[in-house]
Order: sequence, then C-alpha cells, then structure tokens
Amino acid sequence: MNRKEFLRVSALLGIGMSGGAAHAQSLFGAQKSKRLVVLHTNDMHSHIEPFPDDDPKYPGQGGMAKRAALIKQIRAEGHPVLLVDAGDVFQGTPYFNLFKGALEFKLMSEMGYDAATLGNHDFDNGVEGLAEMLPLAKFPFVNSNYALENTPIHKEIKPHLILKKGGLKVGIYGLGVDLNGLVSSALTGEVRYLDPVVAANRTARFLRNEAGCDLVLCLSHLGFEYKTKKISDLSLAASLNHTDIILGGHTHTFLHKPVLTKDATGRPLVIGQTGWAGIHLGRIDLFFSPENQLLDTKTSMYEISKKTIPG
Amino acid sequence: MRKLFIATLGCYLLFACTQPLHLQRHEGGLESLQKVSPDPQAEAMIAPYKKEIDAKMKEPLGNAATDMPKVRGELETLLGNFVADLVLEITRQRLPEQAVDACLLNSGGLRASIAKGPVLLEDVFSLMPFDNLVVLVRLSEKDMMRLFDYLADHPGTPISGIRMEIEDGNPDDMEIAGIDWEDDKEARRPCWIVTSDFLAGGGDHMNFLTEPLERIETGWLLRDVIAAYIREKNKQGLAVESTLDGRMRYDID
Repeated sequence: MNRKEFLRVSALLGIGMSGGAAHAQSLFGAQKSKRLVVLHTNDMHSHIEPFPDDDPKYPGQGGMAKRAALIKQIRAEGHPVLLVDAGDVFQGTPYFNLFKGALEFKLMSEMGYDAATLGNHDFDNGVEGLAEMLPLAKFPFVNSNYALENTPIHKEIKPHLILKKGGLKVGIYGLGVDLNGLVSSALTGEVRYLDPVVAANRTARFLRNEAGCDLVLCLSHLGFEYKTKKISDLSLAASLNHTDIILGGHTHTFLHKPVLTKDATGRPLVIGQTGWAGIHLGRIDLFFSPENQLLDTKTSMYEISKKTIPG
Repeated sequence: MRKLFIATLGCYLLFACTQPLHLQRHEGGLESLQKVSPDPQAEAMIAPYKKEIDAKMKEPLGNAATDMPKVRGELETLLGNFVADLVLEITRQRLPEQAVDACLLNSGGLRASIAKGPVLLEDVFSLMPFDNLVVLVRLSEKDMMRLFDYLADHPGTPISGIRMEIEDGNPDDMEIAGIDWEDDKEARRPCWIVTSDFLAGGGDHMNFLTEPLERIETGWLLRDVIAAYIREKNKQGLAVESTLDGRMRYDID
C-alpha cells in the first residue's frame, strides 16, 4: 500500500472570547503582555509507544517520541514553557513490568518536564521501587498531602516548588489521592494521606502571600469529578483560595476544554485534565501584565495521533 | 481521506470580582494542522528497550478455543471464570496439602479480553498488567458471610469454587467446597481462599480479607500463573476454554 502516514496534531479546542477584538489586540500586543505556556499531561501509564494501529479505541494514537517532537516544536515558538504531569506515569504496559519506570522517567527528563506529582500507580512497585527510579527523573516531584517522613522518598518529594519562568514566579503544589483501597498497604508502607483541602490552602497561601508567586498551580491526582462526596478537583476548587489552576489526573477524563470554575472567594479557577496514555497534550497560554498580573488564558488541546492518507 | 478538523469555539466570559486578577478566557483559533514526526532522540532512547520488549512479548503460549471478552454488567463472565478457575486449579496443583476452597478475584483487575486463537505473552500482560501476587487467606465464618454479602453487592466479581444466588441484593443458596452454607449451619467452617495481594490488602474494599485467621504468601505473580496454565494446556495439545455455568445467578422465583 502506498500510503503516507503522518502525525496529526490538532487542537481540539477553541476558546471563548470576551471584551471585543480591539481589546484583545491591545492585551495581546507584544509589548503589553508576558506569556507563559503551560503544557500538561496525566496518567500516561507507561504508554511509551503509540497504541497499535488496530486498537479499537485509540488506533495509532499517543507515543512519547511524538510528544517529544511536539513539545520541541512548541518550545521553538520562543515563549517560556512550563511542562508538568499530574501523576500515574507508571503501570499499564510491559515497559513498566520489565524496566520499572526507568524509560518513562528518562524520556520525561529528555522532554524537559519541570515538575510532576505522584499518582497511586506510581507506588505499584512499592515506595522503595519508586525511590529506586526517582534518581532517573531530572525534574522534581511535588506532593503536599502525603506524610512521608518515615519513607525513602521523604527528601525527593517536595511539599511545594517555586520556579522562575520568563520573569514570573510560579508556585506549584501537588495533591495525591487517598491510597487506601487503591494500593496495597504493603506497597505504600508508611505513606499517610492527609486532608487535601487543608494541605492545598496552607500551601497555596504560603506560595501566594509569603513567597510572592505570580501564579499558583496545583498538580492533582484526586480525580476530576465523582458522583459520591469523594473529594475531586471540582469539589476541591470550591474550597480553595490562592490557587489559579488545577491540572488533574486519576479519572482519565478527556477534558477537551479546561473547565472554568470559581474558588471559595469567587475568583476564577481553571481545571484541566488530558485523558490518559499520552493521547493528548494540554496547553494553556497565560498572559500577564508587565506587573505580573494574570490577565488572560488561552487554552488548547493537541491530539497526538497518526493519520493515514492516500499516497 | 483528508479530514478537516472543526474547532469547537466556545464562548466564555468571565470577569473576576476580586482584585487583582482580571482573568478572561480569550478567543483562540484552531491550532493549524501540523505534521510532526517522532523525535529521533527520543526514538533512539526507546529503541533498545523496545527490542527487548518485543522479543519477549511475542512468545506464543497456546490457543484460546473461544473469545473471552471483558464485559461489564454480567453476573459471571467467560473471562472472569477462566482466570478464577485456572488460579484455583493451579493453586490446588501446587499446594495439594492446603485444601484451597475457592478463588476470589476482582473484575477491575482483569484489564483486557482474550481473543479466540493464538495467545501471546503480550496478551497475558494486557489482561493482567499489574504485578499482583497470589495470596492464600483462611477466613472465619463471619468473614465468609461478609464475602458472600460482597459478591451479592458486586455482581460480576470473578469467583471459582463458589455457587450462589442473589435475592433482592442478598446472598442466597451459597455453596462452597461441597458445603451447603445457607442451610447446613453445622457444616460451616473457616475456608481457604486464594486471591491477590492487592485484594488481600483490602483493595476494591474487600475489607473482609484483611484480617484472616492465617495468610500464606505464595510469591507467584498472578500473570505468571495465567501464562503457565496456558503453556501447560498447550503442551497437552489443548486450547484453553471457559464456560458460563450459573455459579452466580439471580433468584428468579
């Protein structure tokens, strides 16, 4: 068959507008705003390679080498990029069973990830198994609601991060799901789950008020939404203060558009999640005033897929 | 076929009511269709790992006589019965002195269908990607009752060695290891259940497994047990199969 295959990268998402075109033009004029591009993934579940072409659901989609190329292309636009992951890097293909997450972390390092949080499956080889792999990750992990003091990952997992990007101070914290019933206690050892709402507000307040961060970002593995009262990104958002964006995971929710909601004080808060297996790459462009006030967001979603066209 | 992508253009308008943030969603067009080839550096990093994986995963184990699809919403499934039956059979073979009464697994732990025809090692990895270990627990009569209650609440849970009905959400006519558990109260006794370390640790809220009278760690990976069973049948010239036998039924009186 004479067929050409190429990667289809499509933005699935258009974005709302407000304020009229003229206003927008002035806001987005080169001199008037600073831009930060946030790229995010979650629940990649060891999907190093694309899905097989005969996969009933995701034929030819995903693949870390293509994501790496896409990220390079986005970096080449010249804006500062913040690349983050919301957990469950591990488990789901034989790459994890055989190599225990080594290649996942190496590739993420190569792509230049800035931060990640922990998902429940990242404990699937035990907290010791995770500790063994962490040196291969050349980027920091952040979690703010697991008590880790008696575990071998105590030093590697940061309660919060402050990163400088393009003249902006970005504060990042991370929230993990209750591991009880998800991961056997033999694997989690002495990791203890603490109330995510308390941890989130305490950390966000510190990042905003004491550390003076211009943007406060939550990496969450709580899950987007539940029918029960279980804490989720949506229910969490309504209890938050000082958090601008939640980038989530765990429920494998394909949010083609990040959800715009309000925090406890009525301020806008954006929640994103990109499904799973590295099929999508989420993108949020943040526009700041010269005084580092967040003014606007523009969100888009890339689909990493293979399209076959007649040659 | 070329396909154009249609951007869903949503309209958001949001004015922040507190200072200093004036966040607005803003119009953005569809990103243009771009051609991206895999990154050569990343591909070079993956290549040696992929080679090893491919060599290992294509090992043919045997054949399946029927499709065993992963389905939801059924009382029992070909896939669930297949795995639960083989785990019970292999455990009895390997630990004959243990008198194992039943096998209990979870449907969420069986991640992919088995298709009729050749079964490769990669199919077993898809079915059971988790490195779950086989564990034996000896349950008290009280915890056995909790197990039956759980099964009535969670139809489709893979079991072997147990037969029962569900009547108005409650367990009925339970049988295990030849014991008429429902009616012959004298015959009731603690039972040995083979399961996974995930469930024995209370996974999927099987809390009745967490404080057994005794517990034995086999150290066997559940996945290896499945692969070993298919290989063994193949050596005997047999394809693996599965049937629905009414081990779980609704009371239709």
